Amino acid sequence: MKRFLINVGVFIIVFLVVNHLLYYLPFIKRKDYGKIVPKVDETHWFVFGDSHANRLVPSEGFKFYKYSYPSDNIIDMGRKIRYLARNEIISSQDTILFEIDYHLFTPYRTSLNNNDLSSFFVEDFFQRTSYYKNLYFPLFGDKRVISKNSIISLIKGKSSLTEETQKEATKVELQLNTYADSSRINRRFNQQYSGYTVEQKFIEELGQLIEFCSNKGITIVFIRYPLSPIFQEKLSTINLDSYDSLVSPLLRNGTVLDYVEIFDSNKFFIDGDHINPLGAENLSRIIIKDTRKQ
Amino acid sequence: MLFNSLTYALFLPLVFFVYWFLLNRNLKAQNFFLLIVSYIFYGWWDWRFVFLLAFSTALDYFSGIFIHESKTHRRKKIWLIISVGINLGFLGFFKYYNFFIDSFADLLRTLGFQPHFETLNIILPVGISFYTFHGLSYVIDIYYGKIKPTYNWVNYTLFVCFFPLLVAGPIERATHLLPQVERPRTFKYSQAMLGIKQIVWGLFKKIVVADNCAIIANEIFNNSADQSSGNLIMGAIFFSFQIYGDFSGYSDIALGSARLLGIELLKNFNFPYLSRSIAEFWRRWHISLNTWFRDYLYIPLGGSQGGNWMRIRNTFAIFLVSGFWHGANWTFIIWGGLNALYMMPSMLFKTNRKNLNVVAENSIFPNVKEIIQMFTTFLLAAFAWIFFRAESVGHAISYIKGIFINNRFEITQTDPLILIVLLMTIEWFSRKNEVPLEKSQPLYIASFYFILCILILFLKPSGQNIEFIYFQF
Repeated sequence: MKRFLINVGVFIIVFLVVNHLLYYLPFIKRKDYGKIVPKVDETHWFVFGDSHANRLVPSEGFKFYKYSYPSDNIIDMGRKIRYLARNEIISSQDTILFEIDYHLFTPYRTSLNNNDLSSFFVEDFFQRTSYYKNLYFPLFGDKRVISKNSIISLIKGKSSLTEETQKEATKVELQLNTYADSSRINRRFNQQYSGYTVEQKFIEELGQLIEFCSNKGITIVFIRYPLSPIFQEKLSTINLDSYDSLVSPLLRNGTVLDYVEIFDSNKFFIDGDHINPLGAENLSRIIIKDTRKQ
Repeated sequence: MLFNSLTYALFLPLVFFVYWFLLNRNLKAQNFFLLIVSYIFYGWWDWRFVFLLAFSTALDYFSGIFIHESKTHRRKKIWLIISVGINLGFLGFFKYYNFFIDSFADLLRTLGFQPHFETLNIILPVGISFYTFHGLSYVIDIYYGKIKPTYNWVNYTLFVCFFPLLVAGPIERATHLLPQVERPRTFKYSQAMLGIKQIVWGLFKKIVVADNCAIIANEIFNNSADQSSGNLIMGAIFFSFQIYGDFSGYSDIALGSARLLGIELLKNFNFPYLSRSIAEFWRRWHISLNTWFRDYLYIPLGGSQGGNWMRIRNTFAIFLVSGFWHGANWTFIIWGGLNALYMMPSMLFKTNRKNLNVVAENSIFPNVKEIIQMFTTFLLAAFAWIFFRAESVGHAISYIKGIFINNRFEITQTDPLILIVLLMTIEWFSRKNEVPLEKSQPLYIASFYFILCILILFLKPSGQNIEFIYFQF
């Protein structure tokens, strides 16, 4: 028995240590997540959202701090906002560009959530416990330390981080074509919208966030990001009553920028629902124009 | 409680600790403790059904005693009929009531009637098919005088409710498990290490192979009308590995967990996708269920003793009943019938007892003939799995039509293929053992299972833990 316990114990300890080391490997760790950018100028815009918001790139004409991250959900976004407000990085002069895409409120965003690798935005004991659980025992958590795609990409000889960085850096007109074939688009759409329903926890979080920002004097501008014409067509067949009845009433007192149907060409998209650099440039111009009108 | 959950990861070490450290050398206390934790394990899913489980167990316990103590054959038979009738009655009500109502209504409609039957919103108690079969084998064995009943309530209940096998098997026999429950158990290092290896290997098969295949297989089956024929073929292949990884993974975790407690359960899978014929496949797939049907249905019906006609009839009988056992849907019955059809050539030419050894027993790689045989067997099995997975017979037929009629052949869904290749490579080199690297240098063993653990963490699909398919049966 003693021999068994020692062998199994050593195995588990070594395993946890290696898991921890793997977490810090540069091609696995998503370093860009969780960095707190100190305020260096008079920029007052902060962008929060998932991969859709993440396509926006700050420019001379449209400066903002980007705190969006792929697969963030409303709760992740809320946690970040509260943390930044508590540390006075966001204050009463600032405006938050807050994503309210339809899919953000669905169970899809519970099951496909990001790899929450940052402890920066962890607020209380329970969240910290959850953070360490996800870090050391991701098998049992809602989130993983290392995404499946990372290791699949690793096997293929490239990391998804590099791929993502390259996409961001390449200023060519990547058009919706072979990268996003129809079955992939169908798959993405079905994952997000099949049997559309909203989750109460996201509604509650949004309501509390609006109240929180209101108390702090922070302005929130809500935004729905563009969808490709194929996605728009598919979305028109979905019953969004639950969104209209539960989410829309919360948005009544704020500004809502609805850009779902703003682009009528696939040339602005990298796939069915993510804009490419060209789309990002155009969208930035539209956002500036629309917000100046307000 | 799922084997692939944090709850079980805490539950099993806790049980292990109390069982070996606090209750060691006290068999009665150990058995009583295992019984309590087995009920907790079952009640974790839905505590209300613990009462049904307890009733079913009590029924078989007392039926066994009454059958044994009855003075006349007639009385024995009455008790057997009562026990079998009530057991199958529960199973029929919970599992098949709606199916029979719907099918009967469909039949009446085809005859021109307009029936108005109400179906019930029934929750299927998890594991009911498994623990019912445990109990049935016990009372039938007593009736035929193969075993004597136990008069120890705790021992009998533990035989039926032992948590590793309670919800999805293996389907145990009293002749195998009861003696182990009744005799003192001692901790054996080799047995416990084998158990740990088997648990890790089972988790790998379930989490890495089955759950990743499930994502693509579900997508293809749920949107089969839009898929190319290439993708439809891949869907059938991915589902074949999903169900194998899922169920054999579950069985491995069950066997491994039992071994940690010093109990050996029946082997349920023996590398079925390395089979050279369908007959061999069925000797290696869900072994405990197939041997159950052989012993309690096929042989009582006359087995293969009465000529070709009887062999054909009995083979169809066990496969159709086996299909129906899996679920209340015509798809399962057709799946069973299709497998019976596959068995016909070997039954008629009496070649079904060929290939009893391990493939390529004395060589590293298979020869061309063996490769063709294994490939053909896999294709036949995968084709039948389409019916098993499809929502309805119509869905299965349109899926199969899509494979042959769609003129698009492009394959876009290939992600889990690398995992399947990895699984089959490991299985090939482990085919003579129970688990990979069963006996080797300790460093090699530790390294191999270490990598498996890392892969489990790396390649686990995101989201909640996916339930085991066989829980629904």
